[in-house]
Amino acid sequence: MVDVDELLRTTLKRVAEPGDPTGVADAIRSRLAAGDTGAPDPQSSGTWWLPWAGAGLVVAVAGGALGASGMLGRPAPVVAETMITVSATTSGLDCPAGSPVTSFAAGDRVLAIARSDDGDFLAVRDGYDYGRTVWLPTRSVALDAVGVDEMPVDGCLQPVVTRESSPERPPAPQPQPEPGPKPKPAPAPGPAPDTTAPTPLQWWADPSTIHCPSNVGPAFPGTTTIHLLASDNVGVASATVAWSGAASGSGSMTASSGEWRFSYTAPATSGAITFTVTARDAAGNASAPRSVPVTVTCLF
Amino acid sequence: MTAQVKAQVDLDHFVAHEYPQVVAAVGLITGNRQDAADAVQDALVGFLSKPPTRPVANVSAWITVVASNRMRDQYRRKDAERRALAKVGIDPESMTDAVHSLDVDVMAALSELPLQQRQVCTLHYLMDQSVDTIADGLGVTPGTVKTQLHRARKALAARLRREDHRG
Repeated sequence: MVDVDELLRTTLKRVAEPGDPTGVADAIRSRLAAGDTGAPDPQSSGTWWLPWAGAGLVVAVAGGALGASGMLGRPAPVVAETMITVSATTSGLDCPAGSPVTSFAAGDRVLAIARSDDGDFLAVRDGYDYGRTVWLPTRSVALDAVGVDEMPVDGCLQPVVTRESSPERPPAPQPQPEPGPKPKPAPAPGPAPDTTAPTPLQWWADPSTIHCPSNVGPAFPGTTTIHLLASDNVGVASATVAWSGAASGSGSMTASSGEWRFSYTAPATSGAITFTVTARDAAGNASAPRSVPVTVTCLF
Repeated sequence: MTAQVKAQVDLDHFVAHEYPQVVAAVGLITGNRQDAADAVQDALVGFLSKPPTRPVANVSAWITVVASNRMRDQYRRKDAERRALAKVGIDPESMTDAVHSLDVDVMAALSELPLQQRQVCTLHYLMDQSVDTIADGLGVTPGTVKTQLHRARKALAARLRREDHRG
């Protein structure tokens, strides 16, 4: 009788050859800043965006302008996006004719992906914040390939709310809407109130088994660190942790190296402890809670 | 832009903590370790430059599947010899003494599974991801993942029994 589970588990782990992470993050950053989308060249098959054809998985590209037609296993249509060169120092705006959120110097190269209705502004990917799109006046850039008229038209449906300290920013005029599904803000030049809660990305305890004080030694760690990695459209401002078990309690997590951490020392009794972590942004939106299990073992 | 999704992954964290294993997984799924790192980096660039609109908590599974699919598509365009070599799953030259012959049997059996089954097997057995976690990463239901795992187990057990009796 073959124990397939055990066999696979041990074999795969023995045979696997981990990749070397050295320099990878920097290489990826420079590719992103150069407008690389990681897509295969247009002649090659376009199916790789659809991980499981027929299995119900649809992976779409972000950004309505890029179209829904690229996601059904056919090569994506050639989208009129082009690299542009910034010809004069200019501000990146949160919307066409909106508030400045970042700045570009003459000679900067960025990827333009859409234009405003009137063609006076181009949407570009902010090379320093890959998820963000900012707008540049068309007159201060030079396009590499396509003409402005060939770019897909897009608007500023969801103003990007950025750094709170931005001096030009008027106070948010509207009250907080009800939480829940995010209403699509009407096109407006001003910032919208932040109603987007942070999203927990990863949460874990390291180590997940700790030992009570009488056991602690080189091989028996008595302290664990609870980690939480979360993202937010504006920024995660705080994170808290609460735990159940024999001795319940709660605490604030500390930001460190881009994640939130909380150090916990085992009590004197064995048992399972469930830590619940929650991230909050400056507007008070709380993420969904996530559970991190930890086992306390007292051997003697 | 309708949904300006912020990059849903911390690049440095991902590279330091998950990248090595994702490359290992893609290498196992595709049988080509040399190209696995490039494919994973391409998928990562794709994820960050045009994030999927669906929120993905299990980024490592998403990257693993996208990268291995992409490599499959590339193989399809290459000659049969290359494909046949990749199918073996392991480059015999690269095998150390510590890797015993059972590994070759298991990897050969794995390489005969359909791609999706290889993907869930690797995510589950190499990366220790639960059925629910895998389902999140791939955007399918847990039931689909369970079915694929079940079929893979069954096929592998049958294949490995055959190896047992071979001699």
